[in-house]
Amino acid sequence: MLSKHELATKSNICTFISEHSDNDMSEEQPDTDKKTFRLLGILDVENVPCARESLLFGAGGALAAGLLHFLVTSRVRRSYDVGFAGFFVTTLGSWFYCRINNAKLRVQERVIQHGLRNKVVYQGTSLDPTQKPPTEPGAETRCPGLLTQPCWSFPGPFRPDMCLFNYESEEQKDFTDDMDSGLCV
Amino acid sequence: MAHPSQLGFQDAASPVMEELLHFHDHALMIVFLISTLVLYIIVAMVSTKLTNMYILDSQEIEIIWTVLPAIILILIALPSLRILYLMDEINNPHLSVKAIGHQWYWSYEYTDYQEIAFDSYMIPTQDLAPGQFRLLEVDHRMVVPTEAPVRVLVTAEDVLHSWAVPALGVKMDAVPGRLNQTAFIASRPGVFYGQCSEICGANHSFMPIVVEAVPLMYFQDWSTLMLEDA
Repeated sequence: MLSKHELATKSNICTFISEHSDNDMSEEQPDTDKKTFRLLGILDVENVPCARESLLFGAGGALAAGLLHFLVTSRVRRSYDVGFAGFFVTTLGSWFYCRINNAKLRVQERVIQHGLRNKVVYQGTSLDPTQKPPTEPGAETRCPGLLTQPCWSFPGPFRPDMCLFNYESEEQKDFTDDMDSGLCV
Repeated sequence: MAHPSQLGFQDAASPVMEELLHFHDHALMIVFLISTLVLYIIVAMVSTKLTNMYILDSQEIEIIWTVLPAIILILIALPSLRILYLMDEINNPHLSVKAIGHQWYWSYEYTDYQEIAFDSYMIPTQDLAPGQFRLLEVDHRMVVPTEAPVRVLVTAEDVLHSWAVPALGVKMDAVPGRLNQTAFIASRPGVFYGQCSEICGANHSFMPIVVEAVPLMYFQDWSTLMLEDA
């Protein structure tokens, strides 16, 4: 085991990289630290995905519900209560809707990143999915469902086990076509 | 690393930490809504002109304030348990590193193929180079490859320590006589700082952890360099 003294003269990997790169790592980055606005001191509406949109929708829902109730009943205090309930429900609903879509986007991002890495590795090799291998007549070459052809996320020739999903609706087909369009060429 | 007066989490450098960030946002929004509800009720109670000294019970509101918290707890618990089990998954690590806590430094051993072992001491404040971080820099960093599952086996030689790197979403107690296992995947290259997270004596605050994630090519070069000097 190397002692501290023996290793004292060895360069860190960062120094190793900096010696082989053009970037000057000793320059200080400009200070980008700025205080973000936090609602009630806890909720960072600027940086939390979906927070700003949910709260704006909630505010709109509160205004709409409270105003409508007042116009119908002319009861002020109860209208405030209804308005707050509208804020609560609208914020929660738009929050969950936005977060679910956000989660789907993140899954897509990971699939695309994985596919791009595979493209760098497998393009031009025997596992290149865009090269059409010789097939027997009548052999299955396409998935009936989600994957219209082998994708960079799944390098290699067509395999039936790639066909994980089948379209259940036209909306799903549109959604998955968008996902495939940038990747499966 | 953290910047001065930071309240929130550091940017995630691993998939698990990303999930933790998203769960934190989810839980925080629920907390925010409950806080606004409570504030509104307080204001309404304080400003009302209604008084009734003879209310004994009300089944409807009792049902509401029992069922609603139960639903909220389920909404919080389900993603929480998902992440809990996700954190326990360790699938085919590419590299195993032993992190051993001492008073007051860490030592790291890479023994998968040949033995690389070194100590990691904090750089004293007077020895810092311009641009380095006080109480966070070490003389020898733990270098790992990016995009590779890394298993860390944590133990201690003397007293309790804890190996923690917030940006990677890992924290594991170092217990003498016990081997604890954790794992992470560094999604991007970078330098990630942590500090000992279990009180271990006078210099507990002065035994930081620095993980340097580099592309595999550079990791290979680094390990070759370390082996040549051994």
